[in-house]
Order: sequence, then C-alpha cells, then structure tokens
Amino acid sequence: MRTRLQLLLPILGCLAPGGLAPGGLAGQLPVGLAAEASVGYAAPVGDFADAEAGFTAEAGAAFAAGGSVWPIQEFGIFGGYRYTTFGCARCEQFDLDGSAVLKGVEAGIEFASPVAVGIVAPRLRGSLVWQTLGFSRQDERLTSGTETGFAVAAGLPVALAGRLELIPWLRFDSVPAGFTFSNLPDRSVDVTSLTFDVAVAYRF
Amino acid sequence: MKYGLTSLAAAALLMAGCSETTTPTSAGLEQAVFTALGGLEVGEVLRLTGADAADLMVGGQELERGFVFIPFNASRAAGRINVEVSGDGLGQTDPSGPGVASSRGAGATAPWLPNSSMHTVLNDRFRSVAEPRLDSFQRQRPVYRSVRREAAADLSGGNAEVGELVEINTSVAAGSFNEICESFDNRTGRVEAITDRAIIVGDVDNPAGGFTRADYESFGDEFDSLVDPTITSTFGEPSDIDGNDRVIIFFTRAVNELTTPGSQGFVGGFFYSRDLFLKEGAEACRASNAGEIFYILAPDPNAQASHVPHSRAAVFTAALGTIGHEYQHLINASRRIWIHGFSSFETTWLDEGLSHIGEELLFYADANVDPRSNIGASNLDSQTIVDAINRFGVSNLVRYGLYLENVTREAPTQPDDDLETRGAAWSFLRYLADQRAEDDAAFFFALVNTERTGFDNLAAVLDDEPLDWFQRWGVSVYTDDLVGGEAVSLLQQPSWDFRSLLPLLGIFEEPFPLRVRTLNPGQTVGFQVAATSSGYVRFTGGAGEVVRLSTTSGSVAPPSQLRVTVVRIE
Repeated sequence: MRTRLQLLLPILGCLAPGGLAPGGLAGQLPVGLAAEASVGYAAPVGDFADAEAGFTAEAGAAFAAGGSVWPIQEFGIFGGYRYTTFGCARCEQFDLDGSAVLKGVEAGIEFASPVAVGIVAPRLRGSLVWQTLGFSRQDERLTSGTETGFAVAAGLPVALAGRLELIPWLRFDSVPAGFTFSNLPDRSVDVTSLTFDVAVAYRF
Repeated sequence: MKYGLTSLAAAALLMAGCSETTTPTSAGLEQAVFTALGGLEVGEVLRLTGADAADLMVGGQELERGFVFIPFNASRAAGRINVEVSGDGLGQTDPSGPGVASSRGAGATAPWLPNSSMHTVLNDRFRSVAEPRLDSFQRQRPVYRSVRREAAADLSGGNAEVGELVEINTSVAAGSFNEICESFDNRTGRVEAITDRAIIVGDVDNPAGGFTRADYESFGDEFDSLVDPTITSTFGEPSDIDGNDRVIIFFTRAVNELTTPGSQGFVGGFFYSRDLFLKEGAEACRASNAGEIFYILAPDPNAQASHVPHSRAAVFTAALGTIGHEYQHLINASRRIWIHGFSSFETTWLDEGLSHIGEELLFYADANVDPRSNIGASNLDSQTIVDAINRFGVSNLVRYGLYLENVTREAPTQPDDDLETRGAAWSFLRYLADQRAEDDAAFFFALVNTERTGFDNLAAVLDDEPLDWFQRWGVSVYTDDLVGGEAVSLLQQPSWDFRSLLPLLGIFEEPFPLRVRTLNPGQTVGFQVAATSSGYVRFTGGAGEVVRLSTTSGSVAPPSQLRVTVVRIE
C-alpha cells in the first residue's frame, strides 16, 4: 500500500501544471489548451518480454499526465510525464522488489484528424521520451541513466460531458535504458512495450 | 501563444522534476540489478573491495556457468591475509575442468636452473651498508668523467691485452661497509678476448674441461652483436669508471663455489655493486674492483668447484642469458651512482624483474620476433625460436611456472626474491609493458633511470597505483589464453601463451602448474594470499541458480586490502 501511495504522489504532483492552467486563457488566446491524465496496461514486447539472457519483464500498470497546446485545430504540441511499472517475477530471486519502474517525461506532436471515423476523429501522437528504468529493494533504488527513446500512439477520443473527453490510446514505446555500475560492466536494456491507456482529457 | 508555451514549459520543468536523480547505491544492489539484467558474460569481471566483497552475487543464467573467484592481497607491505569463501546456489565443479590444475603443496622441488640469488644476497647486504654512505659519496666523489682519466687498474683504460694476467677480487664476505671493503679473495684471471664492448677474462684455476679461447672470443663477439645493443638500447649505457669503454666478464670458479648443498638452483653469476666504488677517495672501498664487471659460472663437468656439475655445452648455452641478466643490474646500479648521482639502489624485486626482462629481450632479439607475439607451442615449429627459448627463455618460463605452483604463498614483490618471486616479477613487468603497448624500451628505461625505487618507481612511471596493476595481472595469470570474448584485453598476456608452453617443459606435476582450488556445494575453501599476489577458486553456477558467495578473512569481514575479482570463464 505504501508503495502504491508513493507511486501516486508524483503523478498527482505532476497533474498540477495542467490543472493550474487558467480556465479562461483559451478564450483570451488564439490557441487551444488541453490537459490529460491516463491509466493503462503496459505489456512488454520483443527482447524485453523474452530475453535469451537477461532481464525479462512482465506486464504492469501505466500512469501518465500531460498537457498540450493546439496552435491550430489539427495540430498540437504535447508534453507529459509517464510512470510505468513492469512486473519482474525473477527479481525476488535477486533480492529485488518485484517490479521495474520506467518513468520520465516526453514531448512531441499530436495530430487530430479533421475527418471523423464513425463517431470519433482519430488522434495520432509521436513523441520523444526521456525516461529511466529503475529497480529497488527495501529503501534502495538503482536507476538507469536518462536516455532518449520514442513513442508513437493512436487514440480515439470520445466526447463526454462539456469539455471532457475519454481517449483510449494504443501506444508503442521504445526506450534504451543504460546502467552504469561502479564495479561491473555497463549494461543496456531496450525497453519496448505496448500500452493500452485510457485517458481523460479536458479542453480549456 | 506566449502564455501557452510558457505554461507548457513550466509544466514540463515541473514534470521533469518528478523524475529521480541517480544516487550512489550499495555494491549489493548493483550486483542484484546486474545479475537480474543477465549477469556476467564470458570474459567479464566483477571487482569488489574489502567489506563490499563479503557477499557476492553472480549467476542466474538458465544453464550452468563457470566462474573463477580471485582474491587479491592489495598491500605493499609483505605479509599474507586469510581468505575463506563458501557459497549457496553452487553447482558441482569438475576438478579437471578448464584452468584447474595442480593441488601441489609446498616443498615442490625446484629444478636445477640458474639462480642469480647470489647477487641478490650480495647487493641486498651491500645496499644496507652502502646506501647510508651514498649521500656522502655523492657529495665528495670526483666528477664522473674525471674518474675515467684517473683509472689505473690493469684492465682500465687501454691497458688490457689478451693473455695478460690480472688479479680480481671475488670476495663476497658479509659485514659492515668497511669490513666488506677490506675483504679479499683474489683470483687470477687471464684476459682471453677483447672486443669492442667487452673484456673476457677466464680464471686460470677454472676446472678442467672448460672454455677455450675461441669460446671466450665467441662470447665476446656475441656480447658485442647481441647483448650490448639489446640491453643498452633499452636500459641505457652503463657507467665507465675504469675508462676502458667495456665491461669485464669474468668466468670464474669462484661463482661455482657459491652453490652449496641445499641451494635453490645454482648460482649462474652475479654482479656486485661494491665494484662501483673507487679504491681511493670518498667512501673508498679497497676491495672494489673499481670497474664495470660481473662474474659468470665456469664449466665444471666433473663437479670440482661445487657439487653441481656444469658441462661446457650447458654453460655455453646459458651463459649469455646470465650475462644479459647481470648487465641490467650493472646498468641499473651504475647509472644511479655515476650517471645520475642518486643515492639509492633499486629495490631487489624490481631490479631482479628488470634483469629477467633483460633476458627476455635477448630472446626476442635472438629469435627475431617481437613482444606481444603470444609465443606458444605453435611457434615451436621454428628452430630459431626453439634455440632462442633454450638460450634465453627457459629460465624465465621455469621460474614463472614455479610461481604458479605456489601462487598464493609467493608474490612478485617478496623480499626473499626467490625463484618464484623472480618469475612473477618478470611476468608482471612484461604484462605492464604489453598492456601499455607503447615503446617497451622507453618504459623500461624510465624504470631504470630514476631515483625512485620499488612501488614508488612503478607508480611514477605508470602514473597509476601499482597495486591496481598487480591485481589485473593476477587475473590475467588465470585468464590468459583461456578466456576469450570481447573487451578482454586486460585478461590477456599478449607476449606469451604459457598455457601451451609450460606443459612442454615437463618439469611440473601438472601440465599447466597454476594452483587452482575448486569450490563445491557445502564446502568452505580457505587459504592465505601473499601481498601483491592472488588466489584462484573455480566454482560453477547451477542452472537457473543465483550464486551467493560469502567471503571472510580470519572469520571476520574482509579487510580493505582484500580485493576480489570474479570472472565468468564459460
């Protein structure tokens, strides 16, 4: 439980910037603003899911928050924070907690289709991510260096009440995670995953 | 737009602040994460020091994997530390597996081979009494160049003539500086050959069946063509206090007589730094021969001068290597005293190691091969290489093999400077030169031409802590020509393939004589490791098992001087 609370606190903190944006700002400026928070299910893919030798991850939960600026209606600039936990069944064998955490920020562009498919207008998002992969045990934590990866996502926004939208996203992440050890050779892990996020967005 | 971007930037900054920064972590957590990420690959190493080495974690691979645990005693001071190691998650280790060799204990009998310990004894003894006087000597001694003009001994200047009889003091008596300098054991020698760089003198009382004048001339010629250019181009020119532009090589039974029953090997020759003092003037030493001279074994097929017979052929084959060895000693001491005006002699183990490097350099020159050629069994198709090994290489190989047999008890820096220590010191210096892969001659020249000695000398030339290099070399002792893979250059000894050469010597109980212990489930392996040396324990990680090794020293946590390396070898 303590772990879960620790996990949520930074997310709540990171939600603040989007939430703090003045509600009337969009009305005063020729741009649109949006804030978004999501929860999801992340599944490792590729070697990250089935390494011949090395770390093998299992599925876990993903949390994210971010905001976007829309200079024009179809095109937005996006920034956000992501926190993904991957399961690690074998980690206990090594005296580690049973999960590995990938977290960090991202920034990219977002495209909103002007043409609806059925009742929704698809969104596409591409971003660069700067994230770390971390392992922990008891009160200790070891994280990789922050490296640059990328993510692509497709979403189908569904209008809810007022300015609220519900956006299911399917997302692919690829992030290298390099570990530098003081007494051991360096190691690098390619963190690749598919994530199904459900986001709630608010357009200012 | 301005406000929108500002807001976004502020948000991004705040969100970035949400990510953690990397903080120092414990060695245990690093090992746990590293092992979770797949652990060591073949040829990779884990290094830990002191208390961090108390608990090690490796393994976790799906299949059984082989490792070697290498504790190293990181101390400049002579002495040993205890090491005990046990483990969980171990598989069975085949005692005849890769790299596992002798369990031969103490008391291994050294074969008969040249042991230049005599000049070690002499010069250690003389150093202790002479060094306190060197400061005074350096303040008062005549200018080096003027000494040459003052030289008036029989073999000085241009006085020497073939056939001339000369008196040479061969005394090696112990005592104070004054006692040593008043001790005489004169032998009569006949000048047998004079070449551009050497005066060869034979003791008129040498045993029958010895060298002819043609033999002496042959030594002189080869000294000029091989020994002198090879040795001086690396270490520098010796002094020339007797002004004859030559070194004096005295083949005398006085050397044979120094081998006594119970000796380790036999005395093949010696250089005595006493002879670099003048007979008159500052810190005068009347017993000195006041010249650049060394003393070499005489053939003695009937064992008249000692209990060890030496055929003419055997001495003829080995003498030039001994001369090269002694020449480095002469150069090292004479340049310190006369060329540079220093007040220190080199520490024995380093001085000896450099002399064995001198022998090795003669091998390369004679065989016409370069260092870092990984000379091994496959090179013995060449008769030139075989001959050169027999002349200049065998002794080093044997001494190194003896060290491997007693690897935890012996070390490259031990004060006793026995055969094992010399074999180790030679191999260590060769490893340093090979790993630097620069100009070998410049490296060895720097080690000789300095006022610093021993560890301080090494540290200055390496610009690094020597103990780190002793540790790396200790790992390479096991892994060389055994463990492949990428990025393993530090694990290799590029000049020699000992694993294929040493078995051919046929004198060790095991083909490759490195003493390697094995650690199996439920066992605790304990031993002592000498300062600057390493021990070797093979173990196997069971399939899918995480191996946890526990290391103690005298049943308590390892001291900071204990460093541990674990190498995955298969």
